[in-house]
Amino acid sequence: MSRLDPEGLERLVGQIARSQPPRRAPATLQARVLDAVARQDRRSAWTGGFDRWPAAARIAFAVLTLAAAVASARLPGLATPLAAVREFVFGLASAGALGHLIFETAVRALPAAWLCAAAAALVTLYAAVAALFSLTHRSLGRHS
Amino acid sequence: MNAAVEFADFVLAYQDTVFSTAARLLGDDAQAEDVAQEVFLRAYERFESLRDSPACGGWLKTVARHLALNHLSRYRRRWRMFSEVATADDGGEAQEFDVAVPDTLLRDLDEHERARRTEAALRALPEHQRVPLVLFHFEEMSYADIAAALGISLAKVKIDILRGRVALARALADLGAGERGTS
Repeated sequence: MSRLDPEGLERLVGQIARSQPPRRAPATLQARVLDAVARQDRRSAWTGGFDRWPAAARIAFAVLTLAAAVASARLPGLATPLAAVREFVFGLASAGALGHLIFETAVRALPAAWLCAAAAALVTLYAAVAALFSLTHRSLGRHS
Repeated sequence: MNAAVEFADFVLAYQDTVFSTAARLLGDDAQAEDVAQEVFLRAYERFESLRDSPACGGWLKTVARHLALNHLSRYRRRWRMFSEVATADDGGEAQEFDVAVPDTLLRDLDEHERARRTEAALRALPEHQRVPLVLFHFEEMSYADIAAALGISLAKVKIDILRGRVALARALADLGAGERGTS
């Protein structure tokens, strides 16, 4: 037996660490990674944004969008659907104006402390829901 | 060679390195496998630039280290607390950092057995000693970088590593004595 002081101990552990070969990864790791990559590729083709869609899907989408734009500008038969869309947009705008009126009235009528409390509650709820969503997403991601 | 085959070869070439880093930091093979998978998924996203890069191995080790530490961070508060308690407990006593080890420690073993015992002794260390010790001796990080990565003081990093070395040497000596006793 020999006694080692801190310096001798540092040398000994350093020597052990340097001579230690890497751990051997489990035999299943490579297959597991390749499976995960394949799954990610399948998912990300549609959920990862337009730039990750398959080329054929991107071209088809662009052609269809262009065709729809040209058709809506040129075909008289589309006048009625276009008018319906316009009315829907105006309807939304009116609803927005009504909402604005109600909001203004509420702001004037309610005490400021209530409004502050409501805003704080809203922010807290938002943070709670966001945290819950993030937690769920992470845990689903880990198990998928 | 197509990209899928190239990536499969890439994983095969680096999986031991990545797994080692994660397993030694986490002390748990199943968690290390999860972390290694995540590292390779990130590598896949930038495979074009990584595959020919000479810094590829370093990048993989760094990501594995970050992910393993993130994985541990959920226990970080508890870990800090235990470490503080240990420091406080030892504070009033004479510090005993000398350790007696057999002269033949690990020398009379073949490479495989030496590696096995070292990994077992590392796994047996408490987390607050194993992590800084692995970062210093196996990942070759400086004390200052370890303190920054773990969010603890430099003094505490040094004391945890010192205690880790003592515990590792004792564990290796005990493992040797135990196995000699049973054989």
